[in-house]
Amino acid sequence: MPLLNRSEEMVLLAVIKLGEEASGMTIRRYLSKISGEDLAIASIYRPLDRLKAKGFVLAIDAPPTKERGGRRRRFYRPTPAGFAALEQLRHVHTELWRGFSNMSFS
Amino acid sequence: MPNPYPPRWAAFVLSHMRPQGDADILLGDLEEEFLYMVETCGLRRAHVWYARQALRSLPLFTQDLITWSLVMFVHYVKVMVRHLQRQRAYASINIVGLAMGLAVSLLILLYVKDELSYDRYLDHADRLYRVTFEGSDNDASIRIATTEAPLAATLVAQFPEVEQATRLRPAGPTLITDGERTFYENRVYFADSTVFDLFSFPFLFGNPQTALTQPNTMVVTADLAEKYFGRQDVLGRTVRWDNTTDYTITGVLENLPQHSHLPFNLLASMAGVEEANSQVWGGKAYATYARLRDGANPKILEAKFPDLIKTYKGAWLEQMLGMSFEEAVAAGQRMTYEMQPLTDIHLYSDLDYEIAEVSSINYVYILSAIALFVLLIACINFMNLSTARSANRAQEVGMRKVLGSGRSQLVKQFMGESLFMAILAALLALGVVYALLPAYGNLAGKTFVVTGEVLLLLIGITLGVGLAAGVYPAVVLSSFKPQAVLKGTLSFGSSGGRLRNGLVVVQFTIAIGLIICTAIMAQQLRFMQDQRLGFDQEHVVVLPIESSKAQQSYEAFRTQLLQDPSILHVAAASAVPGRFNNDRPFRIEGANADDVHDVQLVATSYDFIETLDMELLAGHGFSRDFEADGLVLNEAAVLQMGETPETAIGKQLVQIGLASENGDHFQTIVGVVKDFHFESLHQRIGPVAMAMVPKQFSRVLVRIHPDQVAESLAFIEERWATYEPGFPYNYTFLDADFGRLYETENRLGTIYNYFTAFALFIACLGLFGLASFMITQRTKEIGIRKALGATSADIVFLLSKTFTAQVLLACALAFPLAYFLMARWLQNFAYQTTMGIGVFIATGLLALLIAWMTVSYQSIKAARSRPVESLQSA
Repeated sequence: MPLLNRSEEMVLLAVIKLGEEASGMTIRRYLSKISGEDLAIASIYRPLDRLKAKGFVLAIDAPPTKERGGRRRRFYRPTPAGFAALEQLRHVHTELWRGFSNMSFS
Repeated sequence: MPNPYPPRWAAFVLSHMRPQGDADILLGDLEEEFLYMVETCGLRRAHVWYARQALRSLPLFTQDLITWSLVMFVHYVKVMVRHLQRQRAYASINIVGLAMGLAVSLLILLYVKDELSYDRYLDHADRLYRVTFEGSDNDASIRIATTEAPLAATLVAQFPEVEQATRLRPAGPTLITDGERTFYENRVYFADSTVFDLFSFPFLFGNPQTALTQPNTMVVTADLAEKYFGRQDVLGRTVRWDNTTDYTITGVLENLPQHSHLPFNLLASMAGVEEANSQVWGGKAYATYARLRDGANPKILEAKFPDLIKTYKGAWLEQMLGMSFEEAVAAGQRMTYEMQPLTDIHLYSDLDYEIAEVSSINYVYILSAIALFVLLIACINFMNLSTARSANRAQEVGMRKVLGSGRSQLVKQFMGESLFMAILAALLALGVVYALLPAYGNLAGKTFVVTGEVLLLLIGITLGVGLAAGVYPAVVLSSFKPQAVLKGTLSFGSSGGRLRNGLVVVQFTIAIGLIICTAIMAQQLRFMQDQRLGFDQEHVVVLPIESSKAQQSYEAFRTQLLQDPSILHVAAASAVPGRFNNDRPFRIEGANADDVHDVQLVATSYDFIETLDMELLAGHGFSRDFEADGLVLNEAAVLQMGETPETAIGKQLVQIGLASENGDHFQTIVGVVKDFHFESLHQRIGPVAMAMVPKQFSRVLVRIHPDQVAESLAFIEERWATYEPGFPYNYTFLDADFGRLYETENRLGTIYNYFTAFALFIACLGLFGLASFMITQRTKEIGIRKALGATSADIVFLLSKTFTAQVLLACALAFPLAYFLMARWLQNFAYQTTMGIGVFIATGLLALLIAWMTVSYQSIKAARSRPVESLQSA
């Protein structure tokens, strides 16, 4: 299975972290806070699309609410396949970073 | 404060970025954040933030959009290809029919483009004009393409807006000899040295400014140089002109493009022509061209011409008419010059004495109309067949709608398919055009090249046709209701049936109309050519008289010729019918001083009337028994002067301007002949006078016995060798010469025929496709009918009924239209053929027959099918 790319990894982790509140907006806010950048909405949505297509997240639509001007709201949940993908990524990451913990890069 | 809104444009753009269909989710997310921003940072910052979000997300979303569009495109292509493969026959008929329509239009387009572009390749073509003459009195008016000798120079001298002027004068068939080789050149003109100032003919060798300044110099085209010398750099060479003078070649031009109104291959210097320097304002033998200053208005110049006439031509007129200019004007004489734009000459010139062949804008209109009609028929076919096949796609449409396709999406899908088929048709059409191009060029007498411009036009037409013809089927197909389709209650085959039938009727109306018009035009042409001309043009050999020695020894030549029994008559003349070009003003005795008529003057020998088998109405022809100094007029001349054939005999005519020692030169009318056509039958017969002036003879006419043409020709050739040694035996037949007056029309007639046949063929193609489809749709019905006892004949009759009705309706519409159109067109001719009912009936029957044949194969097959099979497959 090909590895998740960076944005997919970040988005998937955010989905897991945010639990029941994982929607496009909340994910964007969370990741923007952590990375310090005001992320473009597309840089969340596209990885989400890909994750959905690969079956790593599930999309659940809530009925339209008045406060969003009658629009739907979509929530995301991780799937077991998503967990497996993250595991794989973590394994690779650990191997790659093994032995670097005490080094500085300058 | 009302709910703040994000920037409208940003929201709008973003709403189109999600082909997945979840644009509302995206917008909702953004709007929540936006409202939060409004609360925390204020409206302005929020707007800025939103806009930045939109802009930064744009490139990322676009990638998705492109990928998705590509995927959908591939899907639609797959579906279309599958569909076409399943219905190969109908698809091919559709494409082939459209391809033929496009091919025909393209061919016509090539012709029309060429015709419209005559002379435009010259520098400053929009400032070049030909000066023409217009004159009228109380009886008649004339417009002539040539003018007096001194006009050109006078224009330049007197009018500052005329930058430069030049004259051209046809030299007639000229004998050119180079050492051994001798040829008659037919496209020879005398020209002033200023001709190259006006006309930017590209020089290969030589200097345009000096090429024709000296007498006895000439400029040739590259082709001519090759013909005589086998090479192009022939500056300084000399050739012999008419076996008398040596001319030096001072320039070689690039070959002229074919769209020149004056296709010459040799220009000789006017400096050597004595009469060209004449300051006499009489006679009109020179084509005068002028270039106006940039921005000059030709109309303003034209307004000054009556004064010009008064100043310069006035003196000559007074001398001719014997009255003052004012009196002449008061008596109704009007004369002026007109500025004819150079680029108008080829298509719009309708004057007498053109120095080269012209075509007519009418041909362009007719051909363009045919192209439009053919294209229309092809489009109608396309539409009809596409909608007819729609039944097979109803289920697909239903499914798509169920799965969420919007109407516009479906329309786009089907329009895309139409466009694709149109493009295929265009490619096929291109192939056809390329294949036919050489043959077509021969037929039209031109060389055609498919330029980039033409290709661009083809693309435009294809797109236009594809879209136009695709709209209707697309709309029909996308309108199917899913419930009806899936339940099976949609009535196949009848969707739009009435419109389809109507379109078939339109197609056949157009085709039938075209056929009738073409038939009548051909009839008129034949009528003109078969008209009793008033003389017998067959079996008359025409020989040119070249040298003055030959002129003098004509009588001897004649005697020699008559020794052979196959030679029936011999005569000589200054011109042959079809080439009269010498009108002179005459006045009959006893008429008012201003009662002057322009009469064609032809010098003829004894026996001219007998040789051409003309009919004498009164008096006698020139005969050795009578004095030779008289005139023989034709009926028209005599009537114009107010006499009858009988009363005219013995009256005197004076030719204005022909002076002799005793003052005016009077001649007696000794004979009157019945009118004969000496021009094409576009024109009424004008007045003609014949006189015996041996010095002007330039042609020998020999009537030979019809049965021994080859022998007679051989005999004449032998005698010719002694008569005109050194000149090639260059005979022609009078009827061939005369027939050349109709060459353009003949050629075009053939073209019309082909294109009309195409139109009918395309219509039938459409009918064939439609018919076979409709019949397939009715298989079940036919099966039931047969099971209930109908015979094959009954079925065929039933199926043919619809189409017959359509053709008959088309006839009913086409007949009056064609009749009206042709009646208008025939008015262009002085001599008209009658439109008999036969043409109409024959065309109607032909259409019916073809329609039946087209439909019959399928009908018979359907009628003979076994009911069991057709009902089982239900």
